[in-house]
Amino acid sequence: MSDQGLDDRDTNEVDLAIHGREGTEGEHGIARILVALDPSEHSRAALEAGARMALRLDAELIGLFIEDVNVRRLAELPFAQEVGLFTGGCRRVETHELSRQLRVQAGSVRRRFRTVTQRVETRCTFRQVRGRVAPEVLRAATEADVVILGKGAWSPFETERLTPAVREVLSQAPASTLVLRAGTGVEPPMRAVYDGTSQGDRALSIAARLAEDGHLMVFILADDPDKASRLQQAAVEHLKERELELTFQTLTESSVSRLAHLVAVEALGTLVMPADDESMEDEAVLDFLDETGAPVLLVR
Amino acid sequence: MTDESGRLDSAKLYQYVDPEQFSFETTDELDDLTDVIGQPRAVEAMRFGMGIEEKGFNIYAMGPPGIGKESLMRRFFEERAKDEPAPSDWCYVKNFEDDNKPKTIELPAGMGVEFRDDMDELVQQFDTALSAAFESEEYQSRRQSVMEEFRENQQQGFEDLQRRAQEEDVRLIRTPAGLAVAPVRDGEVLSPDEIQQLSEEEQERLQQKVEEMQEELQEILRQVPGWQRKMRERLNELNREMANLAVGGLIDELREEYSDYPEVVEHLDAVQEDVVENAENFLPQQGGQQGGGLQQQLQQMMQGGDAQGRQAMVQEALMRRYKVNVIVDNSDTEHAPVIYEDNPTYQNLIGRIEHMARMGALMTDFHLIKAGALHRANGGYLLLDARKVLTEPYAYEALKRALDSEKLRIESLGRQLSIISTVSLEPEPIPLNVKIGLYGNRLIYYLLTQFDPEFADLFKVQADFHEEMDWDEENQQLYARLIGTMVREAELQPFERGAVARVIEHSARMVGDSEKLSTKGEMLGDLLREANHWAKENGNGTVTAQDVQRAIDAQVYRADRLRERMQEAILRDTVLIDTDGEEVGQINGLSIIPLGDFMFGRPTRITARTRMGKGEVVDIEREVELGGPIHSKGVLILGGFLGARYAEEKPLSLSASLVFEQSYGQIEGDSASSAELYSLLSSLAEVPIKQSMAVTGSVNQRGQVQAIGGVNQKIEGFFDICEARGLTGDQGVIIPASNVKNLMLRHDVIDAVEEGRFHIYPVETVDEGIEILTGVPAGERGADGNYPEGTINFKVEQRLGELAEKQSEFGKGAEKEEG
Repeated sequence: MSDQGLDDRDTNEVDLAIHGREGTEGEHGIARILVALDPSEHSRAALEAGARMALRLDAELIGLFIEDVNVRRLAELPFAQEVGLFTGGCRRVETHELSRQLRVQAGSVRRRFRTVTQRVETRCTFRQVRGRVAPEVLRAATEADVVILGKGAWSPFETERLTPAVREVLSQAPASTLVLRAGTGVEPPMRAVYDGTSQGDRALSIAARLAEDGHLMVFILADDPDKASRLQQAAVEHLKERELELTFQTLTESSVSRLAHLVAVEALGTLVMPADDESMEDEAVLDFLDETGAPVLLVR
Repeated sequence: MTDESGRLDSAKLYQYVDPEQFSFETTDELDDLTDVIGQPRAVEAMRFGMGIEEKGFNIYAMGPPGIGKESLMRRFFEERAKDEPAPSDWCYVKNFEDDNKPKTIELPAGMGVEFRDDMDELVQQFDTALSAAFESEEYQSRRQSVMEEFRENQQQGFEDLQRRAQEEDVRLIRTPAGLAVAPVRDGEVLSPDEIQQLSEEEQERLQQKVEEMQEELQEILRQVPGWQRKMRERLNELNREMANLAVGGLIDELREEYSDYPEVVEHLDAVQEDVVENAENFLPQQGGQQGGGLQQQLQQMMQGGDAQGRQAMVQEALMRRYKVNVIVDNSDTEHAPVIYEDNPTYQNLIGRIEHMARMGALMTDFHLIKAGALHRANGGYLLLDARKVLTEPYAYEALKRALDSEKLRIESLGRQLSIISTVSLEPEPIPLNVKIGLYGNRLIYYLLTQFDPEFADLFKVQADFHEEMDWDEENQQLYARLIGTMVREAELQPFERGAVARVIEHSARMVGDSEKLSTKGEMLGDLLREANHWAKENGNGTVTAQDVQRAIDAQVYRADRLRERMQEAILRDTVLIDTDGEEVGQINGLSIIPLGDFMFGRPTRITARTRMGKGEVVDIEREVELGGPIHSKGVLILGGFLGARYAEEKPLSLSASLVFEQSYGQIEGDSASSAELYSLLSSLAEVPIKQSMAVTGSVNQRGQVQAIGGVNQKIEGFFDICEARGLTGDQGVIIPASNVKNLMLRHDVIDAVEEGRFHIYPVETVDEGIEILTGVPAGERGADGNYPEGTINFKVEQRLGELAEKQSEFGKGAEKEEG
């Protein structure tokens, strides 16, 4: 294995343990965090969010860099041409040149990982694989409790929308997912959605751990005031050990659009909400994630 | 005036001031003297020079040092300036069209700092207003909207392409360096083998589609720079709009306030335009978002420190462009300024442009323009010492240039001399309206007039200060008031009238004239202060005549070490001077040794030897180049006298040599020419000269004795030697009669004369003098053309005749030998 990671002769993976001790799983249930990486700024935001969460939750961190196998295959095509992003000029894709560029790219991402995770005391591992993006992320997600993705990662062009690979991971991931765009992070103000479910409890716990400023706004999903009151009491009870200033707001309809409106109107913060497999199949949720600018952690 | 023996009466030796003639007891009773005394010519010139407003009528006040040229000029200027208005303030501001040429703004006195402060406040408000504008939700929203529009355009293009690609089973792939189009199946790029397995038709279709998509992709990418440019233009427009709204209202307020000053309004317009044009430079740096080009340059220059600190420095540098440099502030000036520059270097006169070192380079801007004395005096008066101006490199030329052009142009001396070739500022010149009062000695004035044609064009008014004034009753009273005024101004103890009288007498002594008083204010002031000091030492509440005398004596004592040494040398016979007996061809001449403000006289033995010759009178001092031209002239005149009196019709067969015995330094002046003539006559007539006498006086070809300088010191010099050896009653000094009015002798000399122990003989002709020196009548030529036998003239003529005959015989003998 070359110093820069995979080369043409390697099979598939290289795993570099950068530093750190084992993590601990608290009531929030997060012991291991997976961040899917590419060279984009969206992935940088995802990595920084992952490091922050690892620090706050005392969890291990895995950075997964996927070298898209399609890129190498492209080079094998006789008529493959590359169009320069800046020049707009067309040139033949040479295999050796492409390999070199991919190694450089990987090295850059690895250095970024090392820099961002310097402060994290728990184990941080950089993993590099070659394959198709979504399947590789989903495979690695089985070992993690949270998967973090950059919203516009793996896009051929600059975008702030969910790319197909990200959509695929979000809809099928076996773990909780956090998606965020470039320029944002897991920062206060923290907002949590509570529906009384176990995921809701975990969502509260996670949001409470991440509320560095001591404030937490809780959206209660309830159709009637009685239910809202009960859920509010339950939330207070759940968080009684924490020294937090709690603010409650009741959403009588658990509509995504109302939630999106609330998030858009107030300052960007981080939204932690419970999700189940059923809701994730709902395109409306994915559309909500597509539209909102705030980081959203879906707790499964 | 003289007695039978020609001796001068003691009353003529000194002009006393009787204190009783004063109506005051002390100077406290005297009114201050506000007028200037003793300088009518200079005062008239100064009044004229100040009154005339034409170009070139600056004033040069000339006269010896200590006479009060500078103080008088300053007083005149200040009196006149009181009635003239305070001049304008001058400011420099940035020239937004040309960084290197800062502009001037003229404002009424006191408004310069107001304008500066208003601009400082405006700039601070800029900071707040622009920050608020650019941080506002409206701006952020509109900015994001513009950027989003660009992103959407770009994204839409790519998404459309991607969608169509999907429909055609191809896909956009992101490579490390760009984008590519590739055929796919089930989300994976087809391998070459898989493509080979396709039909030819399908292969062709795929290839064609890939190529089509590539072309479209290229087309989209080609449009990106255009979109980016439009986005930037839109953003710039937005920035300008926001900046204009943010600062426009603030500037309008100031525009209204300064509406009467078009230059200010014009500058405010330029400021607004600049702020708006460079609005992006005021954008706070956000993440990867950079400020404008100017801000980036400033960031690069300000390295070191933390980011926040650097940002603050950058903001400060940006705002500095709009601030004001007030280089002339007349807020506290109540009238026209009177400035005295005591160190008139080029930069102190004209102003300078300073630089600061930053990152190894020298930087400057309009804030670093500093005013010179000409700026401060603009609209008023400037006093300069001529010698100082002339000795400072380039200062005089710069002064002339400014006066001639009537403009103040600040230029770096380094650039002028091509020492520095870096870009520097060329500030807009300021109109100059100033009256210069230059003061110095006469020599400088006449040299400048002679050799510098520009000087005469720029300094047309000469104020000539005289060293002395007439001593009459009126002036004596005024002089007393002058003393009283100086005493009060210097906060000295009051002077008694006796002390005032003594001061006046000493003033006459200082100019060496019993009919004149000195106008040297500095000398007078020093005497008053020193007398006051002695009065305090004595514990007197007032200053008495004795205190004044003590001050005079102390001044002399401090200065006369050399005199004492020379007198000692004479008394110890190291230097041979006889004060009794008589000798042929030897006489006591008298000379002056000047030592700064002090001078003393000393006797010098002059000897003459005569023999047969061809009529030349050899001045040994001249032969060894120890005699100056005036001295040599005096000796040559003797030859003319001898020839005219004794050898009109026959050759002057004389060779004479004259020497100042034991003199080893330069000798100048002709005040000893009469003494030299007496020694010659004595030698020719072989009649001895009394060594108890000393002689001073210049002589012309007609034998008339002419006035000389330092007559008091010369008499005292010989008197001191005689007194030290013991006055015999026969000793004395022969002086020119025309010098009697200059006599202000020491009291011990006067006492000795009164007691008949020493004598002063004024003479008008050498005949009078030779009679006194030899006791033999000089003789007058009779009707027969001869001198009476036994007289000096007879003996001299007889001797010269003998020499002529002998020479004639020698000449004949020589001819015979040759023949």
